[in-house]
Amino acid sequence: MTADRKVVLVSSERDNKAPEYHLLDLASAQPKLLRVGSRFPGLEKYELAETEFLHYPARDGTQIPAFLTRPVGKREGPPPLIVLPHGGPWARDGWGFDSWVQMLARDGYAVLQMNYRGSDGYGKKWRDASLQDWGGLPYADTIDGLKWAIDNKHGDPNRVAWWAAASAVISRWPRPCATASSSNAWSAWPASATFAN
Amino acid sequence: MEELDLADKEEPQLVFASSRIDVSPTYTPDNQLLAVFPESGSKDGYYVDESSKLLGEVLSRLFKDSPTGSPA
Repeated sequence: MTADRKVVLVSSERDNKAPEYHLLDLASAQPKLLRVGSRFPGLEKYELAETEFLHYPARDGTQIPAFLTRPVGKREGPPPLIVLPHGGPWARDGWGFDSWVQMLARDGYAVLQMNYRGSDGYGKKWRDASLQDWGGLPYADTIDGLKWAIDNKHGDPNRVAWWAAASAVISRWPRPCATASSSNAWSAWPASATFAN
Repeated sequence: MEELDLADKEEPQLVFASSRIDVSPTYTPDNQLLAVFPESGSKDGYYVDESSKLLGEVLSRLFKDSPTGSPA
């Protein structure tokens, strides 16, 4: 926004559209958006995946808000699934363009993100649910999301992986399960592949 | 935990409150509060004064067919 508040640079995005920038002249009689460019112009020729906002039931019946992105294109059977919980835990995921999610969806993975208890944005009670309990409710809500996705055929139970950013992942999923993180990761499953950065 | 020294400032004014959603502020280049937006990513913000409300009205019209992001 210019100092006189008359010209604004507007950024817009959605789940399957990377951020693009427009100039908006509020002093004009009929303000219109003048496109400036895209943050990722190389993506404009590709079909990107849509992200669905939904809720799934936790083991105690609490509805957990989540985002499910299905892989681009039609495929037979449940796709491989990446569980991608946000870090924090005092943080949250939101609906919109996510370059990691789009990269995975383009490669044929479904991606599940959840705002487990302990996340921001749902009030103090929800946020404080993680206090001194990082291995409790936040973990249980994440596992319940994975179970829900498998039960509803959103992911192949034999092809599940965890990917977390700035968040530790402890996997007790009773199948071989890869874990990855941009900061650190580990898994209780002995066959897991773990790596950082 | 951050500590704010308000001793030499004007009395703080409540400009927006909600018991349902968390919000984040958006400021002008001269650090004036322009609007607050839900952290859910919704484009439906609360614009603080008359000049910013014009911006909000124009954006709502230009993006009227766009999704509003996820509910809180």
